Amino acid sequence: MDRNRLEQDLRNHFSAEVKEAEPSRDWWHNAIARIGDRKHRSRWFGLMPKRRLAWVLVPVLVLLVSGAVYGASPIIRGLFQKWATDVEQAGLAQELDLSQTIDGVTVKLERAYADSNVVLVGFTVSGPEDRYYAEAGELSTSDGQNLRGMIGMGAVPGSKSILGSWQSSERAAVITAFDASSLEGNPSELNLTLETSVADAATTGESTTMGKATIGPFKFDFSIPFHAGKVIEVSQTVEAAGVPVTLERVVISPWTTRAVFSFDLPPEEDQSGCIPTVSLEFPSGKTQNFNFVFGGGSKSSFAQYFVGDFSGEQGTWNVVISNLNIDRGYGEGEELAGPWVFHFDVP
Amino acid sequence: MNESETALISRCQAGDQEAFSMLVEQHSRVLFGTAYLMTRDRGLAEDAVQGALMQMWKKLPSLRLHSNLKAWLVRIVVNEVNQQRRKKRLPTVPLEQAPEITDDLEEAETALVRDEDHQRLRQALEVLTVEQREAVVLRYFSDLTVPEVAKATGEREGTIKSRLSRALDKLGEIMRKDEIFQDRR
Repeated sequence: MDRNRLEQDLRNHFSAEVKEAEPSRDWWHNAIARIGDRKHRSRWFGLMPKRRLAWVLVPVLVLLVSGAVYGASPIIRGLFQKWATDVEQAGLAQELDLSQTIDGVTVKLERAYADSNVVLVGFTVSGPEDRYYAEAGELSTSDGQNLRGMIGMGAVPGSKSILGSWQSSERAAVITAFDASSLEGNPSELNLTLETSVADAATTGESTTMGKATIGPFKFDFSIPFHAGKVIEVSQTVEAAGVPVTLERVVISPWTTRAVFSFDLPPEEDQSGCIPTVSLEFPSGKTQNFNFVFGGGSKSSFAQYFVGDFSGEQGTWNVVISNLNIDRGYGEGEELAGPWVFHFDVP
Repeated sequence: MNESETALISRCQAGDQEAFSMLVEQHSRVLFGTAYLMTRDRGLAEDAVQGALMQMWKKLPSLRLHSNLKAWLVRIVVNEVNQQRRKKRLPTVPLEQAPEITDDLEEAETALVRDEDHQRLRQALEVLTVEQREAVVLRYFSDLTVPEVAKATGEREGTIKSRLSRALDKLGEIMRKDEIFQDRR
């Protein structure tokens, strides 16, 4: 039998076999619901359990008020207060009032903030359906530079006790952090364009199309103040466990401090996951564990983010990598024990 | 990983269960299908997928955004199936007990169902070892590349290539004999 034909027959056969046995949507719903009580070691909130938001799996059905007037949403402000506490307390986030409606769905860009590390963008989605999936979107500068989405936080109605009241037509609220590390210079403000789409999750019943953008794109042009950070060029290399790691630089900004590392793992360690455990030790004696890591697509470098404004910590900082966790796939991995310790002065 | 998927992953990593639900729905077919084709038992497959979902939720924070998401998910399912296989001793057919490939066309007649290709392949697949079947499922259903299959199974690429080649030779031989038999009928 011809090999190509056999391969195609196998594909067809397997597809047919699976189609006959696939579980119902209810089964999937229940299976996902069962993980709800399990602890999720989030990169973002895993080290800040007290701040963890109570996300809900199934949105509460709320009544659509016809002809609703879209005012400022407390939800986005609530998300900023949880997610960017120091920025909110310093009054650095810019309130925006930009909305666009397409096919009965309104995306409202409510709040944004920019510094040397990130641009934070918060928007809500309102519409007649019960559920929408809002994409993080694409953010670009006026000179055409695209900023990569790093991490986001989304919420659906039901978490009002923590985030504040939802407006009746709101179905989703999203804050996304875009990587601003590629921005050069020290502009007083940034001219940005956010382009995002929304999927009607209630009607995209086929699993293969869930999350696929169906409404939009919604496009917003806006300008926000830029808050420059302190940039410390460290360029220190420390070797432990046979692996040299270089702390390239540290960028301290109001929302977060970013530590940029580069490293060379042996070829056999060139795997998809390498998560270091890093902490900052400040002159005041306080320590801060990392909150999330962003590789930016590179396997040989990564940036660790420590959320909070640490610009007041002047003097000698220590950055400590206690271990490098090499992930060789589920169930397999290795922890390379350090420590790798770096010292530098912050003016 | 496309833009939409990256955004979903980011939200999952932040603890967003709604996003996790979306992510699972996007990949539900490959998740369940891989488990089902490996176990050949719906209940066991559902148990494996449930376990895999728990592990995904737990392991998502360590996933890098540029990783091949599908390969990562399949790897978790494969590991979960193999763990269940060890725990529950899933019925597997040792190589020495598998149906022999025979030159005797009359014997072949009893071993193979010939009414349609689907049934013929189902029967033919029975002669594969557990490892060969696993490689074939991952390659031709889960649609992983050979390096990805190697990673998912913890084997060397050369081993997977050889495993696939032998499996296809075996299947091809059976199907060819069956075709000859059919032509003669």
